[in-house]
Amino acid sequence: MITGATGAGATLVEAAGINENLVNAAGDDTALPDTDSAVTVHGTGEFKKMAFTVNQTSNLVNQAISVSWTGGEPTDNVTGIANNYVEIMQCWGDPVTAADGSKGPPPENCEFGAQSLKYVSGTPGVRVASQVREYQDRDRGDATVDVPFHAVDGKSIPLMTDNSYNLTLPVRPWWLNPYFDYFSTNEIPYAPTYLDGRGSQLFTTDTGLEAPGLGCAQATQVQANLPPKIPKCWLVIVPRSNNSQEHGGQPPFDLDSGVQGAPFQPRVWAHRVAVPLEFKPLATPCLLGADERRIVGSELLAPAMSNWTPTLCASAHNSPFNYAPLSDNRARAQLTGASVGGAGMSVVSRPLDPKSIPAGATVSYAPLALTSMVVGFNIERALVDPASAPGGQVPAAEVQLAAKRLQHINLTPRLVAKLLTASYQQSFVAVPEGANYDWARKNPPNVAFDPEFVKHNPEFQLLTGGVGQGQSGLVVELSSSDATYGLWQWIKSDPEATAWLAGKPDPDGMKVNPFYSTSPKVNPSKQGIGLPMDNFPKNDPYSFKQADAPSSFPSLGMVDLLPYQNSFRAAALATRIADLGDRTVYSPENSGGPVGYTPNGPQIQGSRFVLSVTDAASAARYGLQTASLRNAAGKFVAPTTAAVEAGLRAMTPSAVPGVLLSNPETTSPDAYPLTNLVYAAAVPTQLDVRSRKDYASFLRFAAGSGQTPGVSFGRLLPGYEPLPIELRRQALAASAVIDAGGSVGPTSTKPPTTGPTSTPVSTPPTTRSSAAPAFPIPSQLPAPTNPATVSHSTSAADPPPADPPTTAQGDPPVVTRSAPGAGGPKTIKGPAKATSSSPSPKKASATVTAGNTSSSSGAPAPVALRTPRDPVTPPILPIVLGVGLLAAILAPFISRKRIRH
Amino acid sequence: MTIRQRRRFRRRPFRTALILLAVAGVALAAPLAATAADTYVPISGAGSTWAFNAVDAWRVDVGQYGMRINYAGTGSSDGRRQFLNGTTDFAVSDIPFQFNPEDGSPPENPASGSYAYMPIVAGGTVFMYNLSINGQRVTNLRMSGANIAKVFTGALTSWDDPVLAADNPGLTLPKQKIVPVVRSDGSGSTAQFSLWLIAQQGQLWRDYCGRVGRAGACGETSYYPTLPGMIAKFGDLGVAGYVSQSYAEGSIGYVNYSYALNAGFPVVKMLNAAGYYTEPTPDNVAVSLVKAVINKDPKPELYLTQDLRGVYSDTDPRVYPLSSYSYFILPTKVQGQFSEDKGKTLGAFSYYFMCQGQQEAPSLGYSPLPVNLVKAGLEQVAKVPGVNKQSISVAGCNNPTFSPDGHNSLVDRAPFPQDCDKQGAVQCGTGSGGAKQTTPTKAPVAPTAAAPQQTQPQHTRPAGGQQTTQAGQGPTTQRQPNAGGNPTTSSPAAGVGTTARTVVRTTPAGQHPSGPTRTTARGAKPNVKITARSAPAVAATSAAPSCDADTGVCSGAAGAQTTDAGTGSGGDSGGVTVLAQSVPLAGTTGWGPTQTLMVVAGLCALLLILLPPIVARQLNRKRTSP
Repeated sequence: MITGATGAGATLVEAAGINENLVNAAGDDTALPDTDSAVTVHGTGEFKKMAFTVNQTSNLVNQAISVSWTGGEPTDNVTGIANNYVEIMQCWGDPVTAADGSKGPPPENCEFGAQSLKYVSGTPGVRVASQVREYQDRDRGDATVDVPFHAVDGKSIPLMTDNSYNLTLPVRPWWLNPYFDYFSTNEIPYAPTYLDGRGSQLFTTDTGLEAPGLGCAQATQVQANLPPKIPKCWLVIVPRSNNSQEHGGQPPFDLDSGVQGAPFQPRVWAHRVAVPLEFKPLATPCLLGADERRIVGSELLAPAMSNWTPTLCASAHNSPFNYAPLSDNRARAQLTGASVGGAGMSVVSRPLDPKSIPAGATVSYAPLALTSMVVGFNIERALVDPASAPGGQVPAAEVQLAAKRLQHINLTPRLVAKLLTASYQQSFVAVPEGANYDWARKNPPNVAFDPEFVKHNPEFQLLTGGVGQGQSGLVVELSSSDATYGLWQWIKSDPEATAWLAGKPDPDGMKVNPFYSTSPKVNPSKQGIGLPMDNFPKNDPYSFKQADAPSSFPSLGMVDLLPYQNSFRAAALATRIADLGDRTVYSPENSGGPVGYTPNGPQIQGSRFVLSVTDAASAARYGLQTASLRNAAGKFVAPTTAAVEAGLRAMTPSAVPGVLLSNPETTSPDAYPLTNLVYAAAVPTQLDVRSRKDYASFLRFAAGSGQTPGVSFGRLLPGYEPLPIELRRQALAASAVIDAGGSVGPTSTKPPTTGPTSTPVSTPPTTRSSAAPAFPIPSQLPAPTNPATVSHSTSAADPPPADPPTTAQGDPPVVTRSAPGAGGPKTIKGPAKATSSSPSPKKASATVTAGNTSSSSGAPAPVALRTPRDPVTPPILPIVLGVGLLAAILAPFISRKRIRH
Repeated sequence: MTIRQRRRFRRRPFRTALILLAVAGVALAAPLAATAADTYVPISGAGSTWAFNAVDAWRVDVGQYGMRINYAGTGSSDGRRQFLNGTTDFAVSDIPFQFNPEDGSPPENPASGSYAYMPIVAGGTVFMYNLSINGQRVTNLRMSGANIAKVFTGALTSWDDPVLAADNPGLTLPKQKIVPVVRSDGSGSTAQFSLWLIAQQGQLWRDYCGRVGRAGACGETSYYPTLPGMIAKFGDLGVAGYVSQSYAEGSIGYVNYSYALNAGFPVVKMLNAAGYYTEPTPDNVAVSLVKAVINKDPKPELYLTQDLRGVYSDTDPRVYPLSSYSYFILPTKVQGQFSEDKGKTLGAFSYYFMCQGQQEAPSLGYSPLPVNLVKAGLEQVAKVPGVNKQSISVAGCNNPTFSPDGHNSLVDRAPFPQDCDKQGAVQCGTGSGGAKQTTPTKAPVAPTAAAPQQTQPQHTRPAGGQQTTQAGQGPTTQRQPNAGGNPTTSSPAAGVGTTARTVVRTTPAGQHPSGPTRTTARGAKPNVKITARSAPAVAATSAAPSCDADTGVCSGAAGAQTTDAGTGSGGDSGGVTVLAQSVPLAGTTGWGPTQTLMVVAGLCALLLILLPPIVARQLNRKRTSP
């Protein structure tokens, strides 16, 4: 991290004359950390200097793995179709021996060729039409690469199943098959090798659920007379060189633009690298048709929930769960209005206003997940013109890194404010004429040119941001959220940012777009915007029209240039594929309909620059890097485990006892300011006994095995941090209250003062339960296990002990993991010393004492939780047992004969 | 069911006894062992943004059932185009294929026998607006159909136009330019809106088409023709995103209701044929679509398509005129990238969202499909190659609208609009859409108090016909923004959304029911006619609450404040949306009080059978033994 480099950039340049020290200050290793199943394989022939490393090859589920390589010839044109790149795909099948003796799956068994359907026209780096097998075959008339797709179920998809293949039709799909399409394929048709000979890609491993043509981890019956079999699966990496080499010095066509054609041509395929992949057995999915138990609420929980639900239903006690992400505001409103047919549980970051709660009703809150809001980014190194580099030249070492992804950036509250307020010149197609936009004339074109940004990210003396909206704003969602409210709180708490928003230029003279100013004197609307807000307005009424567009075409504005996304997840995805979703292109033969513009498509590979506001789990899911944000202590802090835990400790009590509020204004130097803790909220008295049991069971799961990090179903996905023991106890206590239909709120009014390694003490809560709970309260709460990875955009491998999610009852108390290799996940320390004096959970008890949450620092007083007698449940159990007992006693006396008699 | 079970017990008491013992002793809370689950292949779809928020939620929901569904909200027109190209497995469209488009777009010619329509979710196309009076956001705007048509045909250009004042007697609308916002892409919402314009405001629409140069070719259209001064945006998100900006003050655009809820903005309460201004709460949409004619012509290009003209003119006070369905276009033969394996997934996914998935429709801003359409829709699904027909039976379908006799139970329970929502001199201040905060209104203003009582009485009235309750009299507190700044509702503690829906019969005695009354009244025959539409005018400032004996319409409960419940405003605010509890028809899994009670009943029956012979035998023994 380059914290503390403040102002050092210029000094360095002057002192050294050449700024080698800046090189790679922002890092370029965006690969996932190695696991103990990491594999490195060397290339052959002309690729023998290449070494490919796959960070994880066993214990796989549907997840991201990373493929990186060294020693390659640099791709000669990263932004276009070129020579020397790498193709990556997943295949199935028993190994066959190729002509050169290498073993691996046959080319027919590989999922490849669909990506090019994605973009009708656009960027060569993404849509590499020539790599569609049939297209290149057509072009060349080369019969040897006529490769059908052999699916694992024995069916074969011949080349071109669509008879109307016609290149003159612009949108016509050339190859339609039922096994994969451009939505679902995981192929990487074009991965560049950078000038340093290295390259790195994230690759999604698909099980048979995602890629039925491959059937990985899934038993498939290929022939009626054979038993179902789980196929071998492979990662196949195909390095490409150039036309001359691929065709023995005589390319069939004069293709200046670079090597084209399918990777299945024998000469090319001979150099493939095949790595066996071992998948975990597929978890049994839930059974369709059961009535679901509904929960609504915060988007921050949505990724966790979708990973939890397949395990939750595995307990026969539970209904399946249904999670509908809504804004926190709507989730709160739906809770107080809970009614028959409504969801009985809402998930929110901020509690309900006690005044909004009906008299007599008490809302129970249970901490569910600790996560963060992040600025996720996908930025590739585009070099400045040497003339504008310090010292008049770009160091050779930096040139070597061109087009690679950045690993770190630092953002201040004011920089984020600038990005959210359309204040850079390139927020506009062109800064409008006239005095109303004079404020913008001296503003930087985009953030990469902003001296403040360069000051905190000195390597940007050597890097630029290209042109466009991505460098000038943040991709955001339309909906409101508590997390967004926290982001604006963070901005508001910073004196620089507030002064700037009020209209005071920054030290370099950059001014706020007046439409966003908090000052009524500056804002043309005569009203300043009020902070904090819970959404992302696009206040500038700017409007323009493409010069050549007909009059029937609509004019375009800010919502067209940088469109809203539907969700945090959608924002992260847009960042990953570097496609902002903007549609501003007019072309006379447009396909956008009578009045539509066509999509601008994704940014060009090699100079991508997209930043978005999203949640840490979505950023991790899509492999985004996350910005370090400057907290009120003046430190740039990335959303690491430690920083998020510090952010949790910095949280403040709310008006509702036991519910903490995020504290984006914290002066704790280690705290990540946008740390978020989401709570489940329910009104037990509004729920019937069955839903109370279900919700209580859910909370027990969430506080128990649901907090174990991992990517398998039932685990806590990367992007979340395990809850500390106090909060898990609080959740268990709340579950007991809900289970019992109680009305006393949960515990702990003080922020937790200990991290996950604290020593928990005393009695875990007991619960009143008339039957064995679906997810029993662990008699011993496990130590929250944290892979101490530095970045949240890594997806940690699962803990190796194969514990199928379906058996996730309770928890393995300790997860120990060997950590081979540098950067690997750290070994987890020993178990938290959770001494348990827990009475049997089956023991019925009218009084529940919440876990004593006292910790090393002393103190949240334990709160006794009265659990009044369940008003709804009739004493069914005694009746049933009594009757059953009676029947059992009587049964031996009666034989069937006698009764017939 | 219980009866059948009892009979079984009689026939085979001992085996049953053993089974029951097992159940009682071992698995009271662990009822059913899961059988082997099906496996599914991934499928992809594209189309409607109107329905996107529902389809996207369902898509995620079925992940736990092992299904991988992709859905791209690229607009209905694009969805249909992709379906025809074979690049998507299913399409979602708000309107049918356009064989003879009247707007100049190319005709769509799906092969005969290659597709079928299936309604998937109901909802309202709303007019989301951005308007303030003296800096305070208007949330209770009302508009007649004619005025809406005039706005979107350029005939009405300023908010202070007298014709709008007639709609809004409680507001002094500002002198501000009206900025209509329409869709720039091919959109089913546009098509629905244009169909309504043709049917209800034909002259205005035809004149407009002449002015925009589409004379003679401006019938139903997916592409809204624009005049200078109008704004056109891509997708519902684009329209909602534009209207929600501060500079868009004065703008009004059409989107699906769910987008207005997400954006936190109000929607126009639209005048219906009964003379009430309504918004498309899930309840109101359900009522409205009772009058939707679903085409039963077996021709695939017509079957199950909707004719909404009856909705436009329905005189139920709860109707929202622009209610409609969105559709799946299902493949009925293997074509393009579609296969039989995908058909199996498509069938299971369809079954999920036609049944269980409809439960969350109100939370998302939609209205669940009624049983008749679910049945017809599932019959359509059965035509998809590869579908497991047994698995899509309507029995066991967890659709929330199902009632024992098959009609849409939402309709029974849908609250009637407040009196102040009636055309006339008073205007409710109650908010709408995603903005529930009350807007101050000028006198004469109907008090917004006592709103919750204006509900449909039939199912909540106890058989004896006695008064039940008045929600507004309880410990109701004032609505206030909560910590997060959103308006919330308070209601009496007992049975929120239940008591609020009960009806004052004769006196506002203020007694609260001890628990939910609806369940006890379930299935009771309605014995009161719906007469709310003839409700008498309400005294504006009555200090004491008064309630009409026949309609249950109350007003003026002193001190009682508006609650969301019963205002007929806002499916989102919770209190409003009272949905029927799911009534599984059969085959429900899971263990609940009902099942427990059944076991108890069974055991009691068993004892009834067992005890007499036992006693008799014991007596016999005693007698026979010397």
